[in-house]
Amino acid sequence: MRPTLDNDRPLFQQIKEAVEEDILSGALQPDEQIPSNSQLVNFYQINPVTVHKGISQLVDEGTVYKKRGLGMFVSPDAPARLRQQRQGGYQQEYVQPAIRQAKVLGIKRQELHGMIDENWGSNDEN
Amino acid sequence: MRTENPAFTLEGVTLRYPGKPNPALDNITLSIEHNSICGLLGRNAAGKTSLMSLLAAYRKPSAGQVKVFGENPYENPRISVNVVLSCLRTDKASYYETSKPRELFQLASMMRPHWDQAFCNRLVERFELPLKRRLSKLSQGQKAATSCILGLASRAPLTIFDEAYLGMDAVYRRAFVDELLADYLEHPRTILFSTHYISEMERLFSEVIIIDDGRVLVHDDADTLRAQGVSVTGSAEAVDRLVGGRQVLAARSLGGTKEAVLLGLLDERERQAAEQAGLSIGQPTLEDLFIHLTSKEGD
Repeated sequence: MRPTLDNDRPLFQQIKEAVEEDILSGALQPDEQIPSNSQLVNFYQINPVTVHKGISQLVDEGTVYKKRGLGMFVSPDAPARLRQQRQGGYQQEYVQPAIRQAKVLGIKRQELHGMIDENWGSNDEN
Repeated sequence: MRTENPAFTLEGVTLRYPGKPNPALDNITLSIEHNSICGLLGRNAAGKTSLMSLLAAYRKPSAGQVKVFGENPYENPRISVNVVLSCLRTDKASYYETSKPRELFQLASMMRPHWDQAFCNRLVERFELPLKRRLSKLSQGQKAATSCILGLASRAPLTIFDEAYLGMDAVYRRAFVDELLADYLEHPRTILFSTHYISEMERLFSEVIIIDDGRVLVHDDADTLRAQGVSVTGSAEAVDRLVGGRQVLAARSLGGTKEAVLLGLLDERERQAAEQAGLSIGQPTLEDLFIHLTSKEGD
């Protein structure tokens, strides 16, 4: 879980994203139980209604499912679906800012390409 | 804000103190949802304590009607055992000052139907509170711990904290919030909470009331309030261009960087322009909104 929440976006949305990020990174596996609402409340020290709102959206979107009396679990297809969803926003969220910043710093297009290749790792074509 | 199942309601409530020209509370109509954690925010002398003292039946309104759990709380023992007001008392000569925490807790255990002695003991240990010393001999932080423990362990269906933790250090304030949330999850209840530490506490609130000069300025749920504005940060020039003629709630700059908090949201075109200009977009905090709404000219 991300350690803290910030003031950029609604808190319930950040709770939702925190769980999604753990599913994407593999910290939470398909059919694994996610932290309970009370664990999230205590961890982030925020209002229980806020946590409930974030988790409910995960249920509505099919990212997690409820087992009565046990808690919430990661849906089997969640990692693939989230990956696809997030790829859509990747350009806007990461590539465009990186290019903007490169222009500010006077980094040339070719140099940026070079940096990407260098950081990607030589043994890792994927 | 509409409430479907209110814990308390005030209807046209006015409170005047003898010899004061202006009323402390001026025709207030308000209700809060059962089991919500509600922040009551206001500047000094805005009327927070007056409002809370009406709910706790310490006073009677000069006009209007107060109802707690559907009944008039004044001189009503059925209601008063279910309302606890935890505050830091300052009247030096009171019974409270000459008592020891142990005596206050014993009294509460007899008066409060939902009192949890084991919870009280655990809190005493966590706050390292000396039980057998008079309150007048305790530090400010220890006095605050005493009132917070009274408020928490009573588990009253309407629990009111009036700046209860004033004087506690950051570690104990954090511990207090910890205990409050953990116990609330096990035993949900309506909590009304006044504080000047807005940025520290705002994530706790599901709804927020801002009062000023005895009137309600704002009452809404916390997310909705924060979503009424937007903050933009980046190069001063780009921020100014985006802001144009809009109402600015707060602005600060450092060198060429500026942050402006605006009322209202950005439309799609503005949002794209902001992103193009490399501005980062965020939400205002409740504290930003509070300062804007309650500051007077010359502040």
